[in-house]
Amino acid sequence: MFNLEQEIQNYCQSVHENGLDQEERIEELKDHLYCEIERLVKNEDLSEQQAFYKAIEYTGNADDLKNEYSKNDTVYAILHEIARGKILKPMNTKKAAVLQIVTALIFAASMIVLDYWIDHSQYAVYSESVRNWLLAAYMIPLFYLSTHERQCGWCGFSTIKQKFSNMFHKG
Amino acid sequence: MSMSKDLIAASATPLILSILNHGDSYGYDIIQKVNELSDGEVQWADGMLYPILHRLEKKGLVEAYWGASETGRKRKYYRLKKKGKEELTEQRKHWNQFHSMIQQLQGGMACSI
Repeated sequence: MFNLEQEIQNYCQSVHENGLDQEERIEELKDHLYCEIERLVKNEDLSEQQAFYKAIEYTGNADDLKNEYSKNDTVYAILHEIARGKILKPMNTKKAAVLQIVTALIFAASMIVLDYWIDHSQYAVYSESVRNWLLAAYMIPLFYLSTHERQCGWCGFSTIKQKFSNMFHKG
Repeated sequence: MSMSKDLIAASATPLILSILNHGDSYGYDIIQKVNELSDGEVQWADGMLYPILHRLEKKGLVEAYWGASETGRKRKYYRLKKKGKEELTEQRKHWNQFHSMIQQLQGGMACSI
């Protein structure tokens, strides 16, 4: 049975999957589709299903829309997509997986090299605390990129807070 | 003869800024206004408007805020910022210049005939 709400949600998610500001963009596109469907049902006497398919036809092909949105992507947005495993278009999933593994290996290798350098440099005296600071300098941006959903500065921390809150409120 | 895609694309920004100059609006309403003003001649692929709006927002020409529709749905509204008004003034100047040039050439051709 045709479920309008579900179909709209699926379409909007397919356009904005894994992107920055995903939730906001989905809500905006949903509002647009509902407006168009209401107009078509009222003015052209179509069923909800017919109106839905006509509305997404007017709205445009999901891939075309994705490409149009990707023109707005900043370097940050691209890094965000890499961290989340959804890579630059039009790469396929195999390439995306390879790129993600390579990125992870590069990060790991650079940490090992940096660790070795600290131990054998004049900073060896401070190596424990310097190493901790460098680890934080690496991990915080990675964590931020991998959990960031909106363009706000504290999203990663609000995610942790929410998870802890859920733990205490369970049962 | 249908309007060229390049012309439609080039006119998108000044049209959006002009519409917002008359008051805050949202994506679907902007598309409807463009359709009405052009008597259906200018037809945007609906979904393409939103990336343009987001670009204008990033450039600081417009500002977005969330409100509610008549049915209570979440709706994103856009308002023109001061920088957007300045940009609109510039764009209007350019378009008027082109219009004036075409008018002059048309007048010149009429005289020579």
